[in-house]
Amino acid sequence: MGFLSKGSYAYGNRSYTDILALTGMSLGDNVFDTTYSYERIYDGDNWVHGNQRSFTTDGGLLDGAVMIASGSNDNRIDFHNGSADSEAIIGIVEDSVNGSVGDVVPLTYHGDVRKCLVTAGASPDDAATGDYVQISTSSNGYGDIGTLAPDIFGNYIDSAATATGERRIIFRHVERF
Amino acid sequence: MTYLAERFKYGRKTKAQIDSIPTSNLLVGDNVWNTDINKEEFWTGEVWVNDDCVVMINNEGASVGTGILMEVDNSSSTTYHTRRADRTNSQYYLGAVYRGGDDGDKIVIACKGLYPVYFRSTVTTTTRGNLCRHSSQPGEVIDEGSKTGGINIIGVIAESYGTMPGDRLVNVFIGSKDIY
Repeated sequence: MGFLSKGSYAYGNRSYTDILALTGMSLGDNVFDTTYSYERIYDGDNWVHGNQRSFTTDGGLLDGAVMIASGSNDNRIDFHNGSADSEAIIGIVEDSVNGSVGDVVPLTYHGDVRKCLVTAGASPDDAATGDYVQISTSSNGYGDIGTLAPDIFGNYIDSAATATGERRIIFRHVERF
Repeated sequence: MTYLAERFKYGRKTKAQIDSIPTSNLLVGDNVWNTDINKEEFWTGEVWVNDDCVVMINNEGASVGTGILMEVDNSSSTTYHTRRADRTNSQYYLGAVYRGGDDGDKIVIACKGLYPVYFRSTVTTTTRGNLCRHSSQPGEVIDEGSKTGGINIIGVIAESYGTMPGDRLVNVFIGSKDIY
């Protein structure tokens, strides 16, 4: 018989860092992430929240990478590769602890994305809150600052880069023409 | 720590297995792990639902099945009514049926995530990575044929078929509809 350690969560309340350090989980185990205020469920591969799902990646891993549907394998994901994929963005890799092609990584496909990689440099790093985020045409898997045009996939919601090339955004799957 | 059987009352099942559970056995709040979509689902008392989906009342006047695109029925004086989506009514678009039903039934509509969508009978192949467009046939979609498109795009195709499956359902990464 299993016991719940606290409330209705198998692993109780834990910080995000502590959650990633857990071992011995079973499919369906849950925990409350006190750092980001999510319930996370262990899906067999990753601790995911309600706007995430795990997918196998055909691109080498960059946490925060901007992703498209894989052109090589069904139901898998890959980095976007420039303007040809401008309207095919499906989400951002987030909370991943793996790093290779073929790994199963969490994709955030709606809502708040804490870390979206953006092309390093003053322009996207200094983008104002509310500015559009679009794909980068110079760096595969990265975002950039955008104007009201195709390639938009969200809005910046922080006021500055948390680290070089990382911004917090709201991801939405609507493009403007 | 907890065992799977304790965490989910009905354990781990496919959608078909979940939908076969006699409803007379179910209690509000019962849960299950849906292995088709890798998500927890809950019994509301009437339907199984997950957090990618909304529950609406089918007001189409006929049954609607899995994968059909639906919109808010703004002609209805009653709330929570839905009908087969016409692409000229983009502002009312909801998503694709995940669990369908007869006219008047509660049905479950996926608004985001990876879900099967119904492709029009004129579609003979699909290409993963291409955009998925709401067609002129209400509720049905087509392969845009490219990764760039325009108005009425509802998502990105996730599976390639050289010959369409018999049920005409193909997985699509569903997003907001492009209405501009």
